Amino acid sequence: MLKVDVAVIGGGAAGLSAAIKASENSKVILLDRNDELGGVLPQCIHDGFGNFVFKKMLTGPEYTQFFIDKLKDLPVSIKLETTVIEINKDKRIIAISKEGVLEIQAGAVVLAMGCRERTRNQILIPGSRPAGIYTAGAAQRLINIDGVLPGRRVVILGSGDIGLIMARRFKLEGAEVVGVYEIQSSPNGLPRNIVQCLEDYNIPLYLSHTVVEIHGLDRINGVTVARVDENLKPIKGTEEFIPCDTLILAVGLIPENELSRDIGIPIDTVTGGPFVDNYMETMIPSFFACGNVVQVYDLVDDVTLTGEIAGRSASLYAKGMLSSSRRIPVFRGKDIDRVVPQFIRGDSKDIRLYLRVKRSIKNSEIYIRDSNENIIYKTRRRIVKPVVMEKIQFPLDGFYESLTVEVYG
Amino acid sequence: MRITCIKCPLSCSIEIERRGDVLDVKGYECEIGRRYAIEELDNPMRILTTTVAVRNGIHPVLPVRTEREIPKSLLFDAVEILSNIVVEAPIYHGDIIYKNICNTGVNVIASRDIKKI
Repeated sequence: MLKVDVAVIGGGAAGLSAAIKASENSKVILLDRNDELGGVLPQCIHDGFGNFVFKKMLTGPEYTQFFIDKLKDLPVSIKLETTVIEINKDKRIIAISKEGVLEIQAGAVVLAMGCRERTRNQILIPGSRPAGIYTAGAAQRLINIDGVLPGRRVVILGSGDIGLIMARRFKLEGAEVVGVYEIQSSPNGLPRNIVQCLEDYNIPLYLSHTVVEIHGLDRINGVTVARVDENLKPIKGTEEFIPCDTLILAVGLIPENELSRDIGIPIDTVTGGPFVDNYMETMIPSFFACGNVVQVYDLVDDVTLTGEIAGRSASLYAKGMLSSSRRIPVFRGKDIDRVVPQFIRGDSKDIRLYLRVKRSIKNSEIYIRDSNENIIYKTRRRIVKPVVMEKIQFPLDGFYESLTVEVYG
Repeated sequence: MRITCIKCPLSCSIEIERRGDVLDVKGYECEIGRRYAIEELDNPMRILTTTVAVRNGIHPVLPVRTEREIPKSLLFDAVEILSNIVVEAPIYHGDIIYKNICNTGVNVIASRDIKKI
């Protein structure tokens, strides 16, 4: 059995930075089921990564390459094509690879499994089950890694960022993109992608529309789309048949926490990821989590930052040096949909919170209150929107029972 | 012409029109937005990212990018040129794949390493 200080599960943006950071003073192993590092980044060939970490706009492969180059000189043992199938509370890890079964005893574990895409099953589209239906990420992999164009006339369901980016990608590869259909009344992707992926290429975006039926037996030959009402129910009489040979689903991402659940780590039903504190420690000591396994971030830069924190914390834990001061809960107050981390360690001095609001508010003020309703920090935003994750940073000093985040117009 | 500003989450919808020497810009909230709208009207620029075919590599395609932004109007011409390019592995990130694409003075470079099989 292999013994390490820190085992990192997943070699995407979060796992890479966690492994690099942890290796500064620990023996680290990095496990990934894919045959190369980077997670989803190698297939994200568009630019827009690294604006905060590198102060320039890199492509996904370039962003990954930086970390891969850095890892080359570090004492991190990297195991690719290695799938972790079990982790127990004593941090014993069982993984399978071409070499057979691998058993690892870790001093601390960093969970960096990322997220996966929602599928047709999860959004319940009726109809037959022909070929030609792909999640946006699957199509992205086919085009950008395998060099295969999955279709010629494409309908995109959902206006998530990967869907928008794939609309442009299909267009550049010579396919026809009929339109992007979004069930909500506002787009789900970042404004930059609406402009540079749809408007630049005259690809129509149909808000308050969804696919109600899929047609075709061997291969999809069309979809029925319809308008939806304010309760997102299709409106009778608005159905329209759209011929297509490909349907792309860009309907959201889910943190991939099967391993975390097996370990018994408590999961926040709002984020879909483990509850964490600002050391990125889960509610089970010695287990840390970072990146999209915790919540789906907007920017890879933030995934990298949380990876660094988790890596540093895990290596301190393995050496018995991580502070175990008491945890202060951070509650969601008025118009706050989610907050990560959900707990703050009492001895922390500098706090960074990620939050999403429930609705768009112009000229907003974000407040942090203590348990006596005193405002301990406030900051202004010209606008907050549910699709844009907000990041707030503030100093903490004194003794608090709890913190509550609120946003006002 | 209507332009959605992408410089901040406010996403101002800016109406911009040139009437002779007079530039009419409406709907922006700040100077950054006004400048962006003028740039988008006169000379919109974009980074192009796509793939080119690879021979003898661990993957059949290589992701590439323009080093800098190129005029938006040249995106499809540039993609057309790059769709006919085949490169030989091994390739290292930063390698120049195509020089001076569409006479823009901008090179197309490799986004990653591709090892030889």
